Amino acid sequence: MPLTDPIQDLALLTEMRSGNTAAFAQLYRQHQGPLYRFALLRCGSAAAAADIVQEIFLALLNNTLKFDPSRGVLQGFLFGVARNFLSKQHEANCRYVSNSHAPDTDDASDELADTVAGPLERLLVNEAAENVRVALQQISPHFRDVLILYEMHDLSYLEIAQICDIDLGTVRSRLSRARARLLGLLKGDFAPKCERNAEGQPPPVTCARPTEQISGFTREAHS
Amino acid sequence: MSDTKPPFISPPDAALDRALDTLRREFEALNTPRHIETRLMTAFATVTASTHPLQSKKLRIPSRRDGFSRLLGQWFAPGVAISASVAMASWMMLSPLSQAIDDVGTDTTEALAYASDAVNPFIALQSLERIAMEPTPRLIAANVPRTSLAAYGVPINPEIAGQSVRTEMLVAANGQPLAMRFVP
Repeated sequence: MPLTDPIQDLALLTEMRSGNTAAFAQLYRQHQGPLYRFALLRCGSAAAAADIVQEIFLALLNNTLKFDPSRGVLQGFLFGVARNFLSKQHEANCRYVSNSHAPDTDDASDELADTVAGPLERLLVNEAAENVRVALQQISPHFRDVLILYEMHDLSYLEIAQICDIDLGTVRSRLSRARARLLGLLKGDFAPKCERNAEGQPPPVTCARPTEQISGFTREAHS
Repeated sequence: MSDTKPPFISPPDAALDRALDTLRREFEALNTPRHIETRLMTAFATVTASTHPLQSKKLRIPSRRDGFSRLLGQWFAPGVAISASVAMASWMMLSPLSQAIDDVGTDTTEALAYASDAVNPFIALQSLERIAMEPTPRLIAANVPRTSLAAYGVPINPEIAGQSVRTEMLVAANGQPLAMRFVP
């Protein structure tokens, strides 16, 4: 379900392109929140998420983004752009942090993120919510995308499929596996990656906040 | 596992949904920092200023579809504006108000009363374009000091300069006077 009215978005976009400042401001205010939250959950850095939002709207006003209304709604398009920016950013970070960047596959071994480039910021005051966010951060990006878009933004399978450029079956399987993985992380089923990968290599920064058992999640319940 | 921990009663998915709900609630309040909007608005103003004037200045050959009127509008608009100004000035000079002033001499009150009885013409205080563009003009009664009439070329008798004149003023929505006429 789109968070904004697609017809109104189109009208605002047209007005914006004719130089209407108010239209651009309204368009920004309608879309910045979901885009920022998506980017924030995806990359885990408030500054990087703000930069992503800024880049998206700069590209929009510079007309470097080619939005085709016949192929979907503006909101989905902007999520797709954000995802592309985030993927590029992630790839760039992986070049510096790890040499073993895996392609966008659904291998079980790829369900956990290899590394997070940079120390994890504490973003939320609520301890429980922050723990869920940190656990989410440890899931592989292409699983995380689907989970965030479905659970946090209430988008449909079809919309997610368009945004991530995958088919519906892949959306379903990724969502299912991402949920299972997140649940496992919250219960503490998965050992911190620094313990698994400590073969003479420096521990990834994900271990700055090792996975811990969250209240309400116990191993007994899982077994 | 420690036995002191509370048993997990709900199904695992329900617990996960609760956890995600908690995260969703916390995230709902998060928005892009304000300075990003400020930067983008500045960028938008820059882009608009650099693109739109160029578009308006761009020379183009008018097509048949554009019609001859657009060409006239582009090339003869200044001439039309000057002609309209001259016509307006002429009309004001030949209007009953100015004739009354000429006839009666320096007695402004009688002249204005005569003009008001005759046609009650308005004196434009702003350009005609500005008056025509005003979407919601209002007509209000106002007492105007005679001294302020000098600015509009109305002769003033020094003996009664301290008095005021009853007028009706056409004002814009923001209170700006657009036109004025004298009421006897």
